[in-house]
Amino acid sequence: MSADPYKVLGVSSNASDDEIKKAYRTLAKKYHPDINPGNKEAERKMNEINAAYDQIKNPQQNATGFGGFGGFGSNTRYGSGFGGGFHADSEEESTSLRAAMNYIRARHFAEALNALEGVPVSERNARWHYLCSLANYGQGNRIVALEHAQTAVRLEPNNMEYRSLLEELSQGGSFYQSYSQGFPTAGFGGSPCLWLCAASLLCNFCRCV
Amino acid sequence: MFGYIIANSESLSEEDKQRYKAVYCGLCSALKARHGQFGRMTLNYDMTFLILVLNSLYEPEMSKGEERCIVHPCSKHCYVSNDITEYASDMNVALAYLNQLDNWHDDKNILSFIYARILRKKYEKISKKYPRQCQAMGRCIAKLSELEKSGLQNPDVGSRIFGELMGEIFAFREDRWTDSLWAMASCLGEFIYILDAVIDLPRDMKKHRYNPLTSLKKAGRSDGYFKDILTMLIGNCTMDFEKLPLVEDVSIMRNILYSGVWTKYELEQAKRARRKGEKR
Repeated sequence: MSADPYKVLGVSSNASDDEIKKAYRTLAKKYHPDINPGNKEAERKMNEINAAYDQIKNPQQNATGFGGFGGFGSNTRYGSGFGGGFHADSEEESTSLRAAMNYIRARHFAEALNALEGVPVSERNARWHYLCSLANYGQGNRIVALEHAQTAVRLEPNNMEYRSLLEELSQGGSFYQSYSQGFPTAGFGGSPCLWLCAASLLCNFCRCV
Repeated sequence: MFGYIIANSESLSEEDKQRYKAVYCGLCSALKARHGQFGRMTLNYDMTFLILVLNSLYEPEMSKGEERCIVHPCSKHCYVSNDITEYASDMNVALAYLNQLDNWHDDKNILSFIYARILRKKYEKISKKYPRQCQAMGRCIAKLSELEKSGLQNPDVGSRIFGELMGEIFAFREDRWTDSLWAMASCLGEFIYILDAVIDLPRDMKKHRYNPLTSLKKAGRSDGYFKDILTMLIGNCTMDFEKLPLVEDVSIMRNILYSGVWTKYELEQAKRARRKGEKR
């Protein structure tokens, strides 16, 4: 990952998202192996373009650091930083919580949840909810993860670790909200089935689930 | 759980409207050509989105045509199609078949039984061509109906199953984009599963039918809370969507993801608000 990925794609470093995608597509068309069969130089160039695109679009994949939470589930969105701020275990922390944390570090999320289950309800503090959130997120349970992160922050509003977890989990939502402001609210001033309505009448009886 | 992935036509440009319509009509005529009138009856918008995404990503040659059809008998109209359209039409029929079969097993709905019988031969052909996708669809639909029977109140479980189903359908080829497509589509599936549950929640609770959100609702969760969950899920989807190098038709796809997918939700919310107003 030595070359400047923007230079490889031929765009400026403050290029918009769509400009980057366009540049990638144009170059990919030019150097695609299907168009240049057997051409080693084109192949090398294509790899370079792909690597540059990935570097810009998935910076986390290339980030080093706490190898833990990158690649949670099927994607690598929460690569950098996430969970990187694990505190050193405090003395009084219960063995179950410590075990859970170790499991999470090792990415054994089911075992972590098991350990957390063992904590009596009366001892379920903010940290317990925090770890529950991490373990559930690792398992792909986004909804429960969000719930636990919210609870952790509610119980200890000043804990930066918990807040940044909640922020990370809500990141997709915040991104979405800022982007979708350009679009009017759906569902008003017209029927949802647009002008193609007749077709959906046809399949009324197969409307399912 | 189908028919949610639609555009918000109000805010589509005239050009995009024509294009969206042409892609939809391409799917419709592929269904007719490959699977007959009964195949065409499975038509819905969800697969139009699949075509837009795969098309934009792989940019295959599109053939254009003009035809008259029974749905729009008065005027000729344009349609576009290619092998991706054919793939989408196959997925559409397979999904419809498995769904009808499941309806028959669960509710003994005789119409579903008849329709499934009609589609069976077509399905068998498709499942030979696309074993991975068809097995995944069958597996996921079975898991969902098991989940319903068990009554488990954990919204993550069902949403992940439906996400898996969507992921497998969108993973058209094995290449460097497979993972990103899978991630994007599975997030979309998770969103749709919860969206469907939110919309059906009042009706399901009244009729004592399974809904994964019943416990949360009973515990006093507000509509705003559910909206937050939905926003998080669709937000994850669009983050993955924006990682794909999609240029062609991107304005239509963004219209769908940032606005259109909420259409039924907003209509339902408006209806609820009206009803509340009338009560007062």
